[in-house]
Amino acid sequence: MIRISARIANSLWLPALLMLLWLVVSAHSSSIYFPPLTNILSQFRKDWIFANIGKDVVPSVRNLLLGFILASISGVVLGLVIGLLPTLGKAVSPVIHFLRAIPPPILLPLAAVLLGLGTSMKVVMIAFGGVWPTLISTIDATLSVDPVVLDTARAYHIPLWTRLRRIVLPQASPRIAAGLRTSLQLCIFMVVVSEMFASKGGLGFFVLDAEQTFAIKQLWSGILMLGLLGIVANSAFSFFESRILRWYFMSQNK
Amino acid sequence: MTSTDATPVELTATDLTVTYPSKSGQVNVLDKLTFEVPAGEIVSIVGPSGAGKTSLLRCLSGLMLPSAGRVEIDHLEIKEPPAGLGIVFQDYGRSLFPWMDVRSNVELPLRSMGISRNERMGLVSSSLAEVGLESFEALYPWQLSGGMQQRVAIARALACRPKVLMMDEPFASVDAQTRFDLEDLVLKVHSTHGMTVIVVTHDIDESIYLAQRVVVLGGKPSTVREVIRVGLDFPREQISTRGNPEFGNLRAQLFSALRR
Repeated sequence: MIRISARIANSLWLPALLMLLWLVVSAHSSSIYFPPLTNILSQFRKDWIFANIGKDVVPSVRNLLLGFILASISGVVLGLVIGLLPTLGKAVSPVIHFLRAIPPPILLPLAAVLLGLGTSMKVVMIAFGGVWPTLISTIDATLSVDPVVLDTARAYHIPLWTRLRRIVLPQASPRIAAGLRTSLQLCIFMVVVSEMFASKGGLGFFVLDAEQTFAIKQLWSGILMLGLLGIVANSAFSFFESRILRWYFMSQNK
Repeated sequence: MTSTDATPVELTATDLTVTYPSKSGQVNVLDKLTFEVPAGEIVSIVGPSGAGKTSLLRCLSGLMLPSAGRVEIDHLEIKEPPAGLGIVFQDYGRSLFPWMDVRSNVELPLRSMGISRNERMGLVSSSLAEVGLESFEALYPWQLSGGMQQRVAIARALACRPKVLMMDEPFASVDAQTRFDLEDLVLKVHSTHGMTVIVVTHDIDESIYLAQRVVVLGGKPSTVREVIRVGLDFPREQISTRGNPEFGNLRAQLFSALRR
């Protein structure tokens, strides 16, 4: 118990200090752009406990989850296939590098024309914006599977499907996880961007709307909410990563 | 031999040649190696580092096709790893899977052999018991010492009831004491199961201690310098066998063959 609180104290003292600093410095602020933190926090309470949760937070979180899952599955599956078929990889590589070079927000109008303005368009755009790090790290990890491991699998006649599922995928998994983590960041980014474009709800819409109606306190409270959402998403990711890759972390720090 | 053991196989290499492409054209690593490994014998292949020993073992195990010549098992040319092959690599840290516990590592090859779950469990347990690791099933390879990890690799090979067991520098990465223990383990396993065993090593003493026949590789590219019969009695024992004057003679003979 003491050790856990010590760990929390160790990782939280700086954020706490910065909040305190913000609180003190902004206390008597009369700038309309930088309202006192206490005002922002009371606005935050008004906005998020729990008035706009259903309208703005729920759609954002749902789109993030769906988009990230779509990005993860397609990135890992395509990455494995491309990584296992080097000839296909050579052909596909320029296409991948062309597509990932396009800043995804620029594709929003096209996606709206093709898929409409609903959830499916947003989810597809979130996945499209986020898939690249996962795809590329899965390809690299699959290409660089240890030759001794492959020799072992061949010598013992491990069939292709088992080889993929029980050997190639686990060996590639630490690098795939690193790709997924970056993909998650990009997906969060795309959630907000997709909601700033012809949308009627979500955190991106909330912040944009606050700016356009000159509601500065709402603007700040929306930004705080987005930061919190990012922290929660990352912590959830770390939670699952540390469980699924327990063997990896333990074998690294023994 | 116990009743479940597979019949050992005879292995022959004929004019086995391996060349690799390099910047200055083809580099010849192995040049027309011809030798045989009689069924049920332990044969060691000894040669200096860079003699192409690993390439040779990859050819013998069907993991790699030779550039010329052929490898036959019971007079059938092999082009891929044959059924009934047990293999132990030098680098246990890479050939055991760190995401599986010891039991799953040993069991994995059996899963594709069409054996029932109960029988698999039995094979895994008896193989682990044979290498002295019966109480380590639930641990992960990285929780074990190097010598113990190599025992797991040997247990994995044994669980398949191999007709031929091939080992590539199996004890090059463990300390001297562990090395002696593992050498004796290989001899014990051979006398229990009677399979054909091929051990690749750079250690002259080890090649004599383990084998009934030593294939000496040397030169650039490597050729078979000599095939030496080892007449030392079984069971062998680290102190008395190595102290036998015959052991000294063989060592001298091998050393001069390598130097020539």
